[in-house]
Parts: sequence; C-alpha cells; structure tokens
Amino acid sequence: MNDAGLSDETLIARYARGDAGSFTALYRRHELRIWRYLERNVGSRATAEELMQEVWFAVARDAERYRPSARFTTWLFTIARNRMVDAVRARRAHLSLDALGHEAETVVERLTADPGASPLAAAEARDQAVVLRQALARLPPEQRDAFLLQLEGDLSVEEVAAITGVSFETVKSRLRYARTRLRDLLSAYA
Amino acid sequence: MSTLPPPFDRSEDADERYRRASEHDPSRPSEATRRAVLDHAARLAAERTRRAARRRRLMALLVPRWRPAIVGTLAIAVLAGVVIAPQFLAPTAPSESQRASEALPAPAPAVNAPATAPPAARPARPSVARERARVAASADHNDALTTRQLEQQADAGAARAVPLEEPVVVAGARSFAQATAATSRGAAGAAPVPASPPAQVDPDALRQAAAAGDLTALRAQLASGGDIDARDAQGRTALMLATVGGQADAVAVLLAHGADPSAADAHGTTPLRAAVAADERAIISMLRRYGAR
Repeated sequence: MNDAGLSDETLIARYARGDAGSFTALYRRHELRIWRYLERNVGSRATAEELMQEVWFAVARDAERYRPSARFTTWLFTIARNRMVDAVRARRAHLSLDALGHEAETVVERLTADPGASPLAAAEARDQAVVLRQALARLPPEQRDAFLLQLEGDLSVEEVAAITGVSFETVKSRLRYARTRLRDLLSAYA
Repeated sequence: MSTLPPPFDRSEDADERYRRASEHDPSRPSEATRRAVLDHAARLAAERTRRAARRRRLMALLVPRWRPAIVGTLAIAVLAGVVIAPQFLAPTAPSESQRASEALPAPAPAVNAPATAPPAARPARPSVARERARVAASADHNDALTTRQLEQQADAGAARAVPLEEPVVVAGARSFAQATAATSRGAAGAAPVPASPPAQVDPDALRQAAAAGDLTALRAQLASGGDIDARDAQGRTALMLATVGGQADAVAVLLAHGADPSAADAHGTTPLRAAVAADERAIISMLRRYGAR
C-alpha cells in the first residue's frame, strides 16, 4: 500500500490498529530529523543510537494513546526531548562539548578565535557537517535545543515553548541568540 | 545607524547555512538501530492485531453491555408476573370470551356489563365454547376433523378480538367483560344483571408493573382508570419507578397516557434527574420530549 500521501496522524492511527507498514512509513519519514536532533544535542553517536531506539520504541508503544489534538511531529519531538533529558540526567552527562572530544573543540576554538583564519580552519576540517556539529556544540544547551527543535522538528515558536516548558518570549530570545551565534560560526567557513 | 543587518535576515541566513551544512552530513542511525526499531514496532503491531481479534471473539461470546439489563428486567417481569398475574388476566381473556360468545347460540349483549368479571366465572367459559362446538359437530355427525374445524372457527373469531394496540386493549378488556357477563347470564339463563361500578386501578400494581416493565400489566392497569401519578410512601410515581428501573418502554407508555413527566418524589428528585443520574439516554430523551424538568 502506498503510504506516501497519508498524513502522519493517519499513519500513527493505522499503526495503532495494527498496521506495521504505517509505522515503517512514519519512521522513514522522520528518522533523519529525530536522529539529527538527538545526535546534535547529545554530541555522541552511541548515546544517540540508544536514544533513537528509546524514542521510537516509545512511539510504537504509545501509539494508541496519541490523540490528534497536537501535530504528530510535536508529539514525536516531545517524546524525543523527554527521553533525551532523562538520559542526560540519568547519566549525568552534558549536552554540549563533553562528548565531542578534544580535537573537535580545537577546531571550533580556531574558528571562533580568529575570524581571519576561519576559511583555512574550515578547509582543514574538510567537512562542513563536522563544523556544523561543532558549531552547534558551542551553543548553550537551551539555545541549541530550541534551535534544533525548530529546524528539525519544523515547529513553531509556540510549539517549542510548549515542549520546552518556557515562555514564548524566552524561546524567541533563545532562537535569536542561537541564530546569531551560528551565523557567526558557520560563516567562518562558508 | 547600526552596521548590522536586521536580526531577521541574520536568522534566515543561519537557517540556510544550517540546512546547507546538514546536507553534507552523512550521519545516520545504524542499520542495527533501524532494524531494532522496526522489528519492535512490527511485533507490537502483531500483538495489537492478535489482541483486537481476541477482543472481537470475546465480544462475540460475551453479552453486550445492555444484555444484563434486559435479562434482569425480564427476570423481574417474570417474577412480578407470577406474583400479580391473577390480577391481570383481563388482557388475555378476550379470546376466551370471544370463543364463548361465538359458540353460544345467542349471547345477549350486555351494554353495561362490568369491566371485569368475577374470577369464578372464568374457568367455565372456554369449556362452554368448546363444548358447544363439539355438540354442533356431533349433531351434524361430523367426524373429528369437523370438530376441530369448528373449534378453529371459534378460535378464529376470538383471534379477531385479540387486542393489538393500546386503545384496542381497552376495548378488548371491556368486550371481554361484556362477553363474560353475557356468558354467565347465558349459562345461568338469568336476566341481565345490573352493571357494577368499574374496577379501580391498583396504584401498587401500577407502580409494580411500571418498575418491572410489564407492559401488559401496565396497560391493563391504565385501562382501568385511576390516578396514573399515584405515589408510594416515598412519593414515587409509576413513571419514576419505571425510570429508575430503566424501563424505557414503560416510560413511553406512561408518558403517552399523560403521566406527569416532572413529578418529583419526596426528596425532590424528578424522573429526569433520576434518568440523568442513571445515564438512561433513551429515557432522558423521552422525558425531555414531554417537557420534563
């Protein structure tokens, strides 16, 4: 059956009634977004793999409880964020640079310390994606979380505020700071 | 003037740069993670399908939610019928009386006959009718088949008089009374007796019939006249008892006969409030249609 034209809400409802194919379609549709949100937040592939399983297991388990009063993506990213926060708390890990290691930090330090040297540093990094993750790692966790929720989850400021439990204005402020900082970091090698 | 571009543009720029850089990010979850997630989801889906099938089978076996209520109602109705049936034979009697009236040569009409006949006269009537039929058959030297045909004719005549609808029940009950009186007189060879006053409704029986949902008894009681809103010691009317008992059909009959839909009991509880408390939606709907408060 072709699930491409079906909404997320329809797919999760069908899965809740026992249609495994609908879950596969949902997973494929959102896999990369959830993955990036988790990995770029926790900065560790191993932790992100664990969280990825936990998140999607929770989606599968709680599918029957999903109510389409909220968008599926809002529900999905709420689960992802809650799992991530729990994992970070449980492991007393940090959301930022700790998992990236010394080398990554060195690259970012070079990027941010000397703007004139940035293109060269970026060339040395040879991978825009690595620099991106490192730039994200330079953001305060709250700003990074808000930014990734909005960009990967395609969520509105209101939705990010609801998920993170802070005010609309606070989210706006976090997003503004995050974007300013990222623009500076990324423009160094763009 | 600030040399910085507007914040909005800067933000857009950051988003664009983020997206462009993301395109070059080959990072993906491992195939093992993907497989684990999809396998787990498939297992849960299969479990749900099995559970749903089990539930459907169980539902097919188990009684629906409303079935216990109906069984309970029927049990109460049977019990009530056994206890109070002798008082409510009138609706079933007309066929018997009709047999008698058709089988007898010339039953004198009893215009002012009592609505119910003395119970002692009842057992004789069917036998009289059938006896007449048998006598007629034997007189004509008919065989057993002819006797049966005559009996069937007598029964068919009675069947025409069997009441089907509410108003007909009343007529049937009265015709039974008339026929009973006529038969009694015919058997005794006596002159027409003066009409006795109509039987009064038994308020207790009315309420019991309403509570039990015994529509036959209920209609018989209503046909006898009397106060449809008569109350028991707790101020409950027949309508209230039918409502509390969830007897939607009895409620419908009572309302159709003019029962007060808002008659509150001694505690001030109205039938509508009782129906709402019991979540009797059909009754709530009926009561509201009759303007219950």
